[in-house]
Amino acid sequence: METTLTRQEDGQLVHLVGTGHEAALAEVYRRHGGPVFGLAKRLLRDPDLATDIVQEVMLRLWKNPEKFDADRGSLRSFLLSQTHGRSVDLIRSESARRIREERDARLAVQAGLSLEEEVWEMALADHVRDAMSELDAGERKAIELAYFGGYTYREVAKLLDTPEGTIKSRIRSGLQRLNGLLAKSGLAPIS
Amino acid sequence: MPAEYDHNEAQGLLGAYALDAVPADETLALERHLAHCAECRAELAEHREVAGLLAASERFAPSQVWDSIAGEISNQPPAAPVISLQRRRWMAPMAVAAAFVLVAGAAVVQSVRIGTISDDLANERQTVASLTDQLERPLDVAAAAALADPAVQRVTLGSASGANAIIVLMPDGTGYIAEHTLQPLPAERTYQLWAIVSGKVISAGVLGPNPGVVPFRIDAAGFEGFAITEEVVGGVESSENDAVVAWLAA
Repeated sequence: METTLTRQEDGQLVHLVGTGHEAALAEVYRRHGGPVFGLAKRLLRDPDLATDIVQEVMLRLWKNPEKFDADRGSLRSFLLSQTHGRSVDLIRSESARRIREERDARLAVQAGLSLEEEVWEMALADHVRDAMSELDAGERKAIELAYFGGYTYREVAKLLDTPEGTIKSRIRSGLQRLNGLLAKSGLAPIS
Repeated sequence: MPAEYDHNEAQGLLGAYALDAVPADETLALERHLAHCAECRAELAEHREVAGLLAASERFAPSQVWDSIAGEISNQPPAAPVISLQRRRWMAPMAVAAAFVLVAGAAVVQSVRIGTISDDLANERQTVASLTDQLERPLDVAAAAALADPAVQRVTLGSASGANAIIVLMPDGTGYIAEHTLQPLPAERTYQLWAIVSGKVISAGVLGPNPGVVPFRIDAAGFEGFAITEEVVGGVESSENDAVVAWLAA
């Protein structure tokens, strides 16, 4: 569970980043760089592009540490959110057409199946995997495609041949149920 | 597409938005609602925390990626927001805190950086190990030690209402707000620390709504005053609010 102490440490660490301590940024990277890099790599399927994104996210924290607000969430989720957003921007940009085509070639036809296999085998910690297994299959697929696939909910709706409103609902209800399930195991980020 | 989604429409999109799965043509309408809906922002924060757990897959950060980051930041020191003091409105010494008005017009904003931060960053590098030690030592212990050290500079920010805050400044420029009597603020508000250095009012840090022991860094030899204001969460580049507490060098 995300503790208040950890939140305070995040805030103090970022405060030090803002006062010019390179070592503070190094500590941020030591603590969170693995998941951040892993997420970018998984989304972009290209270690070089993932490196660029991680570098951009860390430099953004270096230049604008005030963007992080410890009262609104953990530093980990803040950095992952930034990484996810920038990665998805890259995936969806016109300049990344080649990347998208290559990526879609791997994912399109069997998107749900291939992504699900990878997520379950590689991406999820055991406790999160257990929680995911308790979701409805529709909720789980919608979340996986949106988060790890980088698809919009409309694209997910097309891939799964399901109404857009249903996909929106499944993503939201799935995340809510995950929060509740993780809370039971003492791992919920926010109760 | 409406200019702004209503509450129900926005709520329905929060899960997708947390996963960056809302198409660009809907984002603005949602973000307009989020700007004034604390309930939706809170739910969004929960979804993002859950999403963060989904991504927590690789334990170790690749060292070569850090090498490239370190190379970049050596050339790009952090941008401490700095503003010029265009106008001060002073009142009687008794009301010095309430009189500490920080006004900065855009035309006079200058890119001057705060004290030692602008020095060669290479000189300030510390090892990760030493910083980790510092972080593992509770800051209140460090601040208490600083308070007890006769070599440190100590200033007390005061106000007409009796609120105060004690700042200790180490010789290396590290400072702490070691003690204070500031009242906790609502979650959407924050305290912000300002320093006057060479006649310029400089943001020295956003302190949060209920500050604990807060470290900051400044050129300890050059400061002329400090003030703490109440601002919107996230802080501001310049403030026109009266100081909650303040101190000015004689």
